[in-house]
Amino acid sequence: MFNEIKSEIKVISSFIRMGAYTFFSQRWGVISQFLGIAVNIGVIGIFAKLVTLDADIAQYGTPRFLEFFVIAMFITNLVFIGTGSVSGILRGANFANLYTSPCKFITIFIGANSWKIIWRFLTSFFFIFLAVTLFNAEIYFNSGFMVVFISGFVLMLALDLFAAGFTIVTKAPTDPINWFLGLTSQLVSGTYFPVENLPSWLQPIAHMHPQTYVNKFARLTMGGNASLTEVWPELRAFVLTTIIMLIIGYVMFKYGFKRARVSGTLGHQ
Amino acid sequence: MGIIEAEHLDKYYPPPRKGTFGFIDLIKDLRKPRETLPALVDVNFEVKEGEIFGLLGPNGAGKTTFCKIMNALVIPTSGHIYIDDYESVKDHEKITRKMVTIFGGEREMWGLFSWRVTIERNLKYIAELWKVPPHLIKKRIDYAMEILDLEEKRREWYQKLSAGMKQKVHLALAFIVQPKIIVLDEPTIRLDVPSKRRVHDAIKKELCRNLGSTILLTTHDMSEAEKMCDRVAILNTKIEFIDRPENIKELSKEYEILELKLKYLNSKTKKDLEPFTIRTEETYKNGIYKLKIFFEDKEKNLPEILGVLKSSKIEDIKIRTPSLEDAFIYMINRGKKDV
Repeated sequence: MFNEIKSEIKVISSFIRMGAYTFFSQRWGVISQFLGIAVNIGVIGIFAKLVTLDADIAQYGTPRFLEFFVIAMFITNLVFIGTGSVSGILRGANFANLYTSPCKFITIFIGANSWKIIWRFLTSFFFIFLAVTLFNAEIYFNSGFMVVFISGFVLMLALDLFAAGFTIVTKAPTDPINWFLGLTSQLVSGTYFPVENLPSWLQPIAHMHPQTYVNKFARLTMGGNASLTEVWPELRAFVLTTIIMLIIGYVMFKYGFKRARVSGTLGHQ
Repeated sequence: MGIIEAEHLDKYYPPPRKGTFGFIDLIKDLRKPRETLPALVDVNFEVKEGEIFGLLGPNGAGKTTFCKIMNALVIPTSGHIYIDDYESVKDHEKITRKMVTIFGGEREMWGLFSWRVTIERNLKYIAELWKVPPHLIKKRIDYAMEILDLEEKRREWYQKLSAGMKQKVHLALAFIVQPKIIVLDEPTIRLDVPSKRRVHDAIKKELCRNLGSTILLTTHDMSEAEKMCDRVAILNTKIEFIDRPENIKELSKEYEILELKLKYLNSKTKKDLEPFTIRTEETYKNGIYKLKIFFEDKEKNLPEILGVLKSSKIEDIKIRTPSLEDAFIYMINRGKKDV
């Protein structure tokens, strides 16, 4: 058992190395990403000082718009790693070959996403680092944040599992779940202003959007330094939804995967 | 007992959904997929350990479906494939440690390689995915490079290689992993003649004789099958025939082929030929008709055929015995007639 785990970890490290080689083969791409982050944080810092929106952002534990924006962008960047992590791999031309290799099924998905995860973490923390050093943003990382991050990530993963199953069965080139999340993520989930400031007819959509809750809890913990015990009464329902969605997503994925093998369409999309 | 055994293997694919969105069929499919399009019908054969077994068939004959079932990428409608005593779908994970499949005709292999990374690094990565012991990786990469004549391309990016070179790099996977069973799906489809020759030698001498691997080769290139395989199965949804290549050729020696270049050819002449021929193939280019006549009983029918063609002005004439390719076409057509 231990040897098997060791062997799978070695495989994942091979995936990471290959991801890094590929990524750093585009040197200008790497430099422009860091430059892009620096410009992004500069614009946000200036915009946060200029904004005069009449909104109660203190209820989220972030007295300034700077932290309000920065935390939402940071957490969105991290939890959205889950989006496309399964459906994207399954749709790609690479999957069929990886499936014929002796890698375990779960290793394929972890491995194929591992470089993306590492790089996303690195750039997200660089983003936070710039916000803290250039604009004195007040950011806290506590156990509450960890639970919010893990729940948000798992929820996005669960939705992607469902989306993967859905696209396999319907043979659709895109799936409505990731399409909806992508389209509405910044508009209705309260990234730039509280959802209370949205028109009343848009608010039900905002309350259906998982990112609205991720943003809210991330701001409370990372901005307001609220502990896990403080946010838990409200967070509990979100964690429970995540667990239920994970089960539903897994069942849908298993069903879709089997169906794709019956139809012979694995990796055909 | 064979190392690969197909037992009453059937695969029927669901038909395309009708209508713009296909909602009605989609709902039907949700309960149970409709499996009505035959890809493989009652396929039975076995491959012995250490042999090169060819699976020959025209496009759409079910060769790739067979390979996909071997790799659990497709679930059969009924029947099984046993690989070294393991069931291909149920025991997929155990089989992956003994078998390597290289898809040649499809784009899948390309996805496994990183385009902006050197060949050497790509192969090292693949060796690690296939869990080759670390101390053997370099040695085996060197070996594959030498055998496949890739030494000069070692430090080049994968994206800079031609399609043929890429195919050779894909084949290197077999030399690096050195598994018990190798499935090669159209392994030389993009190669030029010298490269093809080199790859044939490498498969036969190195993989099969030196390393002792059993090879299942799918191809529609008859000369490749003739040159490489110990036995071949002609597959056209169902197995038409299994034997040694020379025996299959022998089987079709009951007829002969007359190849002619003619100045004129009209429908009356073609009709007059019918009683003396099995079938004819005709092409027209630059004012010349090329006619291929398949016929039996040379002594009796040849003078009759030449008599009919007298008015067509014969410019060139050749008579030959059938090749494996002719035998293959003969089998496929015979199969169609049987259906």
